[in-house]
Amino acid sequence: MDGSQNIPRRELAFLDERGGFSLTLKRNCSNSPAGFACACGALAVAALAIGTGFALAGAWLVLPFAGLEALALGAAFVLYARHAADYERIELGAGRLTVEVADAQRSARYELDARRVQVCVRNEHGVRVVLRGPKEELEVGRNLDAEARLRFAAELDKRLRI
Amino acid sequence: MRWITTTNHKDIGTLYLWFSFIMFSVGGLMAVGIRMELFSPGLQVMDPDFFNQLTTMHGLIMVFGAIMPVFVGFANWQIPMMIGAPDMAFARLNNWSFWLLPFAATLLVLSFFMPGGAPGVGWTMYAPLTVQMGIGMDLTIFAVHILGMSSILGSINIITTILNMRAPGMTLMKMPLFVWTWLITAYLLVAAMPVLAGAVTMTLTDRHFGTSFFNAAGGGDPVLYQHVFWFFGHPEVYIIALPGFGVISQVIPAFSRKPLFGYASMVYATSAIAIISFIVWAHHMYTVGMPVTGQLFFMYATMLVAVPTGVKVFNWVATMWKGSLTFETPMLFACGFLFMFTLGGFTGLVLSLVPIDIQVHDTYYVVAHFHYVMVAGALFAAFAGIYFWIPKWTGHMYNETLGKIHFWLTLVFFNMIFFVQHFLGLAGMPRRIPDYPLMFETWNKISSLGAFGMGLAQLLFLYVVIDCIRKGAPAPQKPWEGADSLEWTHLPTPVPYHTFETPPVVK
Repeated sequence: MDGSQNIPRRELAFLDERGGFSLTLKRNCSNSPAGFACACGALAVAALAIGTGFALAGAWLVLPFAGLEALALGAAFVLYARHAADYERIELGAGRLTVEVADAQRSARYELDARRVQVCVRNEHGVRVVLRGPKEELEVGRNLDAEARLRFAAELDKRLRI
Repeated sequence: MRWITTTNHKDIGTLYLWFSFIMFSVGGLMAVGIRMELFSPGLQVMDPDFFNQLTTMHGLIMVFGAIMPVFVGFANWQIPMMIGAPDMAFARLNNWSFWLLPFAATLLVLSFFMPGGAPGVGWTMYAPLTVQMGIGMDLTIFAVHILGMSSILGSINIITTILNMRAPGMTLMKMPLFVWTWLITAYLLVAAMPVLAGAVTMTLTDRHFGTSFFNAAGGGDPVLYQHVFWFFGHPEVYIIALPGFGVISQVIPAFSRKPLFGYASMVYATSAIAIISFIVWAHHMYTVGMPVTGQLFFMYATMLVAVPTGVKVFNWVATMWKGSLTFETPMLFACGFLFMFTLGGFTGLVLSLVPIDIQVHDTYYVVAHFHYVMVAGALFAAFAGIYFWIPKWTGHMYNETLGKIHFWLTLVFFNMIFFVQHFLGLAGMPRRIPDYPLMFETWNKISSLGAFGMGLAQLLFLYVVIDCIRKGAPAPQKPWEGADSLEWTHLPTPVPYHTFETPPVVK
């Protein structure tokens, strides 16, 4: 097991790895972007095929609406699938706290000195967990609900103090 | 303001349900007007033109304003809870999908006040009559566009939600059948709606922009309109019926205290019905003139629908077989659905036969048939669903005695209205006429009395719902012993505003 967890599950499991821990927080997504693309694509092809059939029969004004609908399906796919693979991976080991964030097409990796990081819980627009270092702040736990964020913050704080 | 800006699936579900009830009342009042006119031979209360406007608007409002939205209301409330998702995939889009509806409904109703009144062309909006209508026709075309847009946006949302937001362990073949039927319905909507949009747009351009798609005088073909319309129109029948099948597939197992018999075959049968629905459209137009080969193809294809539908009816009955049955109101409506919808299915089979259809085409036999499918099918299923889930939604039990009275009144009055219409149709009474020969008077009187009674019975339904919301007894988490989907097993009653922010793990 590589420590990755589908986070919005009931258990928020922290995995010890040589005194540290590694946790991957993902959205719950029951379908892969490829699978969703197939579903949307099949629908768009069916709508366009019907539109083309009517165009050949002389009722060509069905086709533009089928095209608009294919665009709407494409938009739905892009909007949903671009965030389907988002994750946050938080690793603590050898005095370093590493946070890897994938958000849509962007991914970033932050390394923080574990001794100088504070875990702050803020109640702004709901519960937010922020890692505060000497120079920067980083929000984590965005894929968790409010209750799980509080547990996550408490657990991370405890680990950082060990 | 909360109700305007809300993105919560439960709020939006509630909006859909109330909107649907309002439109059901408006469409129902139109039906009462129609039946008042038909109470006796001769012209009584309205001129023939207004009669035609009422039949047109009754059909459009009931199909697009009442029946479709009621099941979208169920979808909004139930799909996220049944698959363990926190909300719909596109919550804002969900809000827009709903708020398009009141505008469309307003346009439809406003068409009555335009010069020339509402279109009197029938809900099918056949060309070339549509070319001759007043500005009310344009409002109707615009309304149909908006309604279609709402349906497409809603469908894309439902497909995205079901495919991507199921809880861990909730595989496709573990989904409640209601969710399956909605997934297939959403596919049907996405495939069929552009065809309707194209049909009404071509009507619009024929009316105002000098095209002649359907105008024979300009080289067009009025029959082409019928092909285009019914290519949408027949799947539309299943768009209305399939979510009803889904509701019944939740209700019958719950009150039989048994799992649904033949779950997989139900899924395949639903898919089969959806696919076949695209190859049967011309059974609505046997009389326009088509080659015998075409007639035979559409006749056999239509008869084929009876196979998967028969599988479903068999499975519902088999679910009840040796079950510990109780007959609370939802189950009564489900049984009413089963009897009445099957009867409507049988008359559909009769109408699929070309020689018979040519005899009874455009008669009250057809009116009776499709009302057995639409009212006893979709509306009874909707009532079953409302009585089934209202304790979970509101936290209160409804008055069981009044619920049962509502069922029996609705069942009796429904059959009073429509059963006798089979006789009228077989005797040759055409549909869409405000006057008729004396020989049809008795059955028409019975039918009209039934319509007045059915309208009054729905006031009782409104009372039961309001009474339930205001002062119903507190409902337990699972008031129905045999109910086993996630909303009953994992969520308290009433369901909190936000649910499944952390999805459950389905074993």
